[in-house]
Amino acid sequence: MAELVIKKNKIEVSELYLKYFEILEEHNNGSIPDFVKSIRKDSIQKLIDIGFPTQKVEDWKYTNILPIVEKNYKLSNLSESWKDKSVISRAKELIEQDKIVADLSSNQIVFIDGHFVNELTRIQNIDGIKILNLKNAFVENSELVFKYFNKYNQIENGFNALNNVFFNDGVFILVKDNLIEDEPIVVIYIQSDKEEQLINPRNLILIGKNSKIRIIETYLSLDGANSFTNSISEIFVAENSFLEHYKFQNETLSSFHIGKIQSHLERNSNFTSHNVSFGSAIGRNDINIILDGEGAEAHMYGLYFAKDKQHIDNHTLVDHAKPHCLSNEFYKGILAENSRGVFNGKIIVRKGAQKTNAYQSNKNLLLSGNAKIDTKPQLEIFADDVRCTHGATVGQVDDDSLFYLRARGIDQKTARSLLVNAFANDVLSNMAFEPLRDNISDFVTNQMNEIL
Amino acid sequence: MLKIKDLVVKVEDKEILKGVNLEVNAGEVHAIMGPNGSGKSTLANVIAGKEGYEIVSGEIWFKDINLLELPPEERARLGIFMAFQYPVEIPGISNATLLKTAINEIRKARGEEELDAMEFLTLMRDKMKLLEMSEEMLSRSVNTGFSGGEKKRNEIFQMLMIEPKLAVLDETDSGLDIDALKIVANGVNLLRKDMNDRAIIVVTHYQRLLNYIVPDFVHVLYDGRIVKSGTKELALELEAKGYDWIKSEDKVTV
Repeated sequence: MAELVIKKNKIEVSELYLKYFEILEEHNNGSIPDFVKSIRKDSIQKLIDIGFPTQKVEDWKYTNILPIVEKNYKLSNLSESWKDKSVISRAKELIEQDKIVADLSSNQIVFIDGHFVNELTRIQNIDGIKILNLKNAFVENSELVFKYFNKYNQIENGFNALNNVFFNDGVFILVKDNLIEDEPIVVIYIQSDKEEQLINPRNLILIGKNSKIRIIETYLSLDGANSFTNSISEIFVAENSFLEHYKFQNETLSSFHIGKIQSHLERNSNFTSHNVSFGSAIGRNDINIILDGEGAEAHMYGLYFAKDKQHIDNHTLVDHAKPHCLSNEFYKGILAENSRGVFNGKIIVRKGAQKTNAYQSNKNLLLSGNAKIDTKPQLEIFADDVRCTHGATVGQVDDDSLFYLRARGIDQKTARSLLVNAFANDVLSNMAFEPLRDNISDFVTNQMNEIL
Repeated sequence: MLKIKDLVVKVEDKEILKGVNLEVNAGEVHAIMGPNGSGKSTLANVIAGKEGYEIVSGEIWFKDINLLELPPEERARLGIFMAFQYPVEIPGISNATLLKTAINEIRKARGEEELDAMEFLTLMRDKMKLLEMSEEMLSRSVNTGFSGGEKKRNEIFQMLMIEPKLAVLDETDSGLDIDALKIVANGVNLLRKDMNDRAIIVVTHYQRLLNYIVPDFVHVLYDGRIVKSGTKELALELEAKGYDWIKSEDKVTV
């Protein structure tokens, strides 16, 4: 463990990261574009300045990240674990047998410990869609990458800076104008069980005008993984386009996950985000959406299911920058055993963003007396013609419903499982892609059988 | 079939049942009547096994099995069914899922084979027709957004699907208009066609349901005790004289 200097609002960055930065500087010069080099340089300085957040920082009030940053990770960029034959074959097996991601699509791009793995990737050629790893996109689509990369990704905390400095690779998806495709694009990240690694996936998703597409980001691990995934996905949706985005995180309970989705919506576009977290010891999602054109819509659905001593934190931010936009958020949490959940839904309505409709709801089910949730809406409204509603509930499995089912001959365990499943399905029913929805719903039932 | 002996039950330190005795044999339909607060629903709930009731003393036997030792699901698997006075709305669980799970759990417990999807669907369609229910109800969430009448009809539908040995109808008539009442009563009478190994207890405040489900025996529950038992004529007498008649008589006997 590292000796950390902890001040009131920051945990100082350990020497190790500075050393890694030097090594990367030596290794990578030449292979990455200059503008990325300068982002790295700025970000390492920023990282040194702001460090990692303590719980005195409002956005991290309920989430203690000390267990994450006190470890001396190996930087995944410098690891060769992803080339290991046994790792690749077990990753292959995981992808083929995983109850959630197996057989979802004929388009899948796979990363192990943040490295692109060509032999597990299969991509159909579809006119108008480009799927490749970011490193290649730096070469093949340099102009577009230059234009959009890191455009709206503000460094909000040390983890964002950390990704800027150390990202290795990720997916680049480009969907051209006027393209409608039902077959989802599945991005699979797998943590190996070799070494404790710091992995910084970096994704860039560009959707042209009048298009419609589904993208599924999944984060999984091989059994026994102890790594830290710190991802950033940047998403741009142009005029009149629909993006259905799914993020599914089921890393091991000894790993850590911090992920940010930064999305930018243009006029009359529609972004639906489904965010499902089951894994990691400490997991944090930041989903930031800027509604930057009239008529844009953001739908945010979330399900978190924690057990053991898991801690899952969801922070969402919808920025209504233009008038006549809609945001609709519905997050549900199931907290079992000694787990803890955090929900923070921030809505900003800018001055002039009249006729805004913003809805938010967060509902939680506590399955044990030791489980806990901290839920908070955060509204900053600077326009006066706005419709905004929010609500949060925390409850237990309803005794009357439980008795009703038992009185019909259903044992207590099955009855509880049915009720928890129903609670989850209330939000999962919004998933338009049925195979994933059904898999996740079944997974909730299986989880319940393990818990009760 | 069912024997209740000297049953004393408390709810939150208040004695609700103060020594109930009741014997119900196979083939019989019993009506339990009484004013509000007399303990009717408590009795039904205690038979079904609801938690939150303190059994101070007494026994409930179902075919030589001590019911009070069993959780509600095991009672249901023995063949006890309660139609709820206030059926619970359960969003997210469809009626079909509830019934399929319930029936298969009951069959499994009895060592019978589970019904396959086709057999199950056919059975459901047949029973729904009898109760004039529309098929779209199957995919709807249990009782969710149902009217009072639809909820009660759904209880009877479940009863016909499950085919219990002992059916306890807790105020199934409350909140029903006359047409719904007839349909519900018709459902109960369908079950009554085969009473070989079956009994029915109808708990009600009013006599009107008993015009359609004619009981073999009528009991009056008052202040936690069965104060009067008789045949169906007793219900008519109650209807004519009102519960005050029992109350005043009760005072006299005390």
